[in-house]
Amino acid sequence: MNSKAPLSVPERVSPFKRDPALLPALAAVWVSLAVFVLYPVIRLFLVTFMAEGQLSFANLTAALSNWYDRQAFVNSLWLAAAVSAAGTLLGYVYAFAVTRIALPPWVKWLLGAVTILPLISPPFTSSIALTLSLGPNGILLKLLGVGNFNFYGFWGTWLSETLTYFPVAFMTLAAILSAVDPNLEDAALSLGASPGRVFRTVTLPLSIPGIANSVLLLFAGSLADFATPLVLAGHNFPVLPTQAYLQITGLYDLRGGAALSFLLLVPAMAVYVLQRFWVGKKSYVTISGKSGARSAFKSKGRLAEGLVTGVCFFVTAFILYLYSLILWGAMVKVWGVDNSLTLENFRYVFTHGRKAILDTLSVAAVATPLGGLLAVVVGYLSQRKKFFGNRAMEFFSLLNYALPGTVVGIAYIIAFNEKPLHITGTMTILVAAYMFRYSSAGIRAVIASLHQIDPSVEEASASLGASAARTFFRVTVPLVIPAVLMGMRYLFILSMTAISSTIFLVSVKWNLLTTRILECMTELQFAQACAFSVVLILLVFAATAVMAGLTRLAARRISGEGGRG
Amino acid sequence: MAVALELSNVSKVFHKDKKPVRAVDGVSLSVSPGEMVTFLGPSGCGKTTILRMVAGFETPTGGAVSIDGRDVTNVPVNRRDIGFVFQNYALFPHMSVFENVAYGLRVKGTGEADIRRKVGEGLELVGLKGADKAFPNQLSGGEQQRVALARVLVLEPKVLLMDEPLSNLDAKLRIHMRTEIRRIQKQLDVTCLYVTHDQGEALTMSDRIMVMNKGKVEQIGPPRELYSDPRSLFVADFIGQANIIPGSVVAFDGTNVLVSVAGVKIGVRAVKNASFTPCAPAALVVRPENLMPSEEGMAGTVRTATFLGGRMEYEVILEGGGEVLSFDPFLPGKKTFSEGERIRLYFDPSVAVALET
Repeated sequence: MNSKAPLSVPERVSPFKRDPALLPALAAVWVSLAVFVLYPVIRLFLVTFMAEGQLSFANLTAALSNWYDRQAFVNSLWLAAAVSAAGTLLGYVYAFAVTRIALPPWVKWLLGAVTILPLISPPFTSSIALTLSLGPNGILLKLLGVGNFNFYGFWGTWLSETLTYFPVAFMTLAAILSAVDPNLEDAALSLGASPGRVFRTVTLPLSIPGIANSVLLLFAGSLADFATPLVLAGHNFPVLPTQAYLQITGLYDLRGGAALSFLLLVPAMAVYVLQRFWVGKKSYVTISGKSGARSAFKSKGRLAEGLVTGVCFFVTAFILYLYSLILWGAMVKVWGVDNSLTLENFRYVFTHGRKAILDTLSVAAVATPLGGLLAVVVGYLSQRKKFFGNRAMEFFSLLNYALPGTVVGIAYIIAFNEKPLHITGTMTILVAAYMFRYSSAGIRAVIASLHQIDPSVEEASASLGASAARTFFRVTVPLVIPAVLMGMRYLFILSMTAISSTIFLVSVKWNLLTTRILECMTELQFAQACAFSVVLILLVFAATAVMAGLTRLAARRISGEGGRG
Repeated sequence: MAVALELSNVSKVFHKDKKPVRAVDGVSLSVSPGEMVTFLGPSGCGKTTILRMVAGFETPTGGAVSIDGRDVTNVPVNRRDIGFVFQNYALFPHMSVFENVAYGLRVKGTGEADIRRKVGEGLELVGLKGADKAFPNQLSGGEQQRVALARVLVLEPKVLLMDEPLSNLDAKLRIHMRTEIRRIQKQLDVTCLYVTHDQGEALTMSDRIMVMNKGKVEQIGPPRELYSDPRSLFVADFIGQANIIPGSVVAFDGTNVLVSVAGVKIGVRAVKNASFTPCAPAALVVRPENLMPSEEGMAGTVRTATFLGGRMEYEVILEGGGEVLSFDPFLPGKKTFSEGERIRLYFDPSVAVALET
């Protein structure tokens, strides 16, 4: 009975001996991380810090001494700070409304649904709609009778990015607000505190870890955002990602572009490190025994409730307005000139845009399963196997996501435009860019779900005589499939809608929908841009609906109950 | 100082899957000043819901709650002057023990010097002097429980409400804390409602127990009365262990009833307000410690015999059908029975009670 128990294995036996598949798996992961994560970043550093064959700060000082580039650096930080503050505030208001106010279920559904829209749309959507309403000849301007209004620059970019990124804050904060033990708020009330005081002394302090996390996420998001400033920032408000892009595509100055992206990399890395090592550890949300009934919603005071609901309704209505504007824009002949309805723009998309649609779908379809595989393997190795460097492996596997897309794109063209790995212009580079950048959600989901699955389940399989590989494929993989599918859904959405890294990597052979939208915008073909956006949103929507269905199905088969979408 | 509390015909209807569920159904109770009343019942019987309605966390669907003669049914929690102790303690994790205990005093606008004094006294009362700088996550379950108690006691609430406060503690600490809580409650002379599903807690701590089942009150009375005179089979079974022996009524004179059980006619006390008719079925409630092996009485066969140190426990199958439990104090040399053996069981009819079925 006890002779074959796993405990009888002497502790000093190397894990590689016990598990022969471990070494090849580890080697494969490390080689691919080295090639597609470490190597490009190292090449980027080399290009930044090498001038005339030796170590030098010349490129960096050149960038910093340029007034315009310095301004871009300051603007980027300032914009990121403003977006993260406003987005977090708006996200908090939404999360508070959904988790703390007694609203009818359909209102909560609507609030949740509206926050999904910006997450599955291409990054231009709100920029285009805002241009159509507040730009030159914008319909909101006409409606309000404002003649001379310059919307381009800080305010336009800030507004558009806030609307694009606040759903991230909403999701982070709604999770933390619904995890706060309702008894704590009840306890404060029973000790005599007014609802306002309860919020100030209990609810708000307990949500601070979530707020910090949301601020950092939004700061990183805005810092890296490329599409919005390209459309809305204009020449008077330069920011780093667009400056780096123009430096490379406009001036063919790879060194200058590398230096600018290095400037972008420093704050992004700071945010990543802060988030991983500081916010991650500081959480009050604990599950301590039975927490009792969630109490019925108690009034928070009519004024506060009215204000919160009012803000939510206004923002929701505005988002719906922006999206209907896109749809409308796709169906008129010439925006603002000839407003008669037509399907001509969609015909344009399906003829001239056909190649871009097929290319985008192929790249996403190839990157998604590969990214899913990467997520399972990396998540499993770093969570379940104890060996030297598995923390580092996790860190590097998430690194490309933490870096702004522009930085990754520039690093990729520097690294892969010459031998030994000359793959620019191919599909491989697009797939690799997406796979190593956007599998992060899947990796984190796999780690989280493995964290919840007791290792004894796998030990049971091993004790019944299964080999490590068999245990992995027959026990572990089925258990993490919901997490993997969730990660793949995310990867697919981003592969369809991303632009910041791949704008550098597209070619004549391989073009993408998002770059076509950008071309339309720069050529002022608003109607075609809208039509492309509508088609892209519908494609993403259809594909994610299918994958959400698969996720639910897999979750039900495993847990015997409805899964989390 | 202590105040009275009154529940009149309080009901609460929840909507679960769009179907109404009567969680609390027409409960009336009046609690005298300084009294400690325990709500006892299985989970889901509505006891916690009543407590939360007294606190003001839930609003009754019908009926009224009054504290100290004032109708508080529509008064919000924070203006009721109640102290609520939660099952999971609900200590504020981001505040030190001192700040937790001082929270209510700060809300009241008490001066800093008074706060210091009162928090000190409160922590001393619960035996946690000097722990004021610690944070909740550095304390054991029992210590957290004491902080939670101190936090409400410093406010000198009119009514102390406790929702299964000991259920997350280990067995030994639970027994210690229940005498501690009772001591503090008596010392401060505060009216107290206490929810529990543990009959041991209810029997040892309360002035009166309210036994609840499916949203309704089964019986309200002092612990001993509930044990000796259960009004219903539910109460008999829920409090202590009980043998419920089926029989039929032979005669009834208003206070005592003659019942035929397993071929024997026995005269026992009848449940209050009963109306037994001859030949109707009746149930005899006999506590196992009152059912002992004897020369005479009901005949049966021993199914299992268990030695527990202080006593022998016999599970006996009666001849007339039915299974009973008998406790026999163990003394060296005394006859014990083994499995399969024939046995006769006798009980003192004056301490048994007959219920209608």
